[in-house]
Amino acid sequence: MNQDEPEFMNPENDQLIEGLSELDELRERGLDSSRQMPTIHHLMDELDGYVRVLQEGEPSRGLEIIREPECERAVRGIALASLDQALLERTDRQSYSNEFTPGQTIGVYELLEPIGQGGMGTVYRARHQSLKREVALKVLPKWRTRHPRSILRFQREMQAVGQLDHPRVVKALDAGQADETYYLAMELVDGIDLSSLLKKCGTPSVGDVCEMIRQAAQGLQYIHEQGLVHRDIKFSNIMLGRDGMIKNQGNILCADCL
Amino acid sequence: MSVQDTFSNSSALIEQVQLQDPAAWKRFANLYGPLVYYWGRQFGLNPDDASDLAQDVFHTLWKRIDGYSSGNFRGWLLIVTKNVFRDRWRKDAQLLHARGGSDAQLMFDQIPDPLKDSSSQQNQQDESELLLLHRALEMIRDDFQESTWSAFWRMAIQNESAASIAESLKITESSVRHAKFRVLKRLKEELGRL
Repeated sequence: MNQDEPEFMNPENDQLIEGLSELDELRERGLDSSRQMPTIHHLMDELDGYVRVLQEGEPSRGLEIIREPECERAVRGIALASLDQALLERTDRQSYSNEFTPGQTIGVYELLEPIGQGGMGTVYRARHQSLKREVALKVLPKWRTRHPRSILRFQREMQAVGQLDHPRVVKALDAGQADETYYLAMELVDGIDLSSLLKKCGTPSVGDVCEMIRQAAQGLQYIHEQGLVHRDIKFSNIMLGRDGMIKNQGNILCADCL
Repeated sequence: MSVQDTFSNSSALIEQVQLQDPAAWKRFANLYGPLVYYWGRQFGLNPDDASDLAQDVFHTLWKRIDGYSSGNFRGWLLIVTKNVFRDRWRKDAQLLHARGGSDAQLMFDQIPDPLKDSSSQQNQQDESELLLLHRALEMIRDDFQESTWSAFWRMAIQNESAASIAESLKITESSVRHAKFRVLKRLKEELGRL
């Protein structure tokens, strides 16, 4: 058990761990009556304190909450804040990680402006340089590519979305890798998401709501028929186009990737 | 040093933050950011608003961190969080009722103010403390081999006997204890300093 943990290989540390283990065993057997080495007893008491709290069980509700993507976004925003500045800049829903600047190109796409923040990366309005066609470009930030699991998840999403062809689902147009950046180009919907629509215009009529949900459900039905699952069904992932048509977007993964 | 002090004094880490060490700030954000986010959700905020709250709190913290010297850090953090919440969402106080009903309001009022009643603090079911520990455990998880982690988890958290774990993992009892203390010691380091 020692071999793969080089940071614990120093003899001083090993001695300490050894001492704690021995004391632990003595205490368990009720044989520890003297306190000859106060430092180690002190440390032991401290560590025992953690164990006492940990044995209260797992804070499942709390853990569920801190695993929400918005929590990760908050932590990232806080961590990225520059200490050189006199004030921290808050990463709010409108301003994004400064890893990419508009005007920058990723492969054949020129970034125009950020339009959304997904669980896995930022979405930009971008333009294909030759075709001059605008797309929604989802970009996996470089800092994520340090974790192979993140790349794998992104690739799985690319594959899942690539299979889809339905009027009620946002289409994938292109995907690839430019330098160390992974991207997914999707159909850009000229419209508004339902969450923003509700905020701006209030609740629509019953008839309109039924029609919008009906269309969204058609898209979800199609996704399920392809053996996929939409992992993130919410109003902000349902787009209403200028043409009055609904499209689903967001986190779609293969069903066995749950 | 009591258990209370252990959790509430992250003095070494805070000192490094005060010295503007960027790595300390990142560690600090990873450890305490989720706790503030969790409190925000407990106050009845939706995820986006809780995220904004956490970022506002740390923005405020940055300005005030030099004013913190010692004592119950988590308590201080909670006070700052409540103040930021009140200032920004005061108008939306009725949202507390709309969203979570009177339960959310009650939750807000009942989150213990550690500066007030420190003697009963230790006895209170404070999920915040547990959450912080589990967050720290998540942060150090990848530094350990599966077998080491398993031995630690089963002994320290599931309260299984060293003998039983040793038998099922086919290792010695003292190896089991070594694993437990390696992780615990690392946990202490994660909470206290870089």
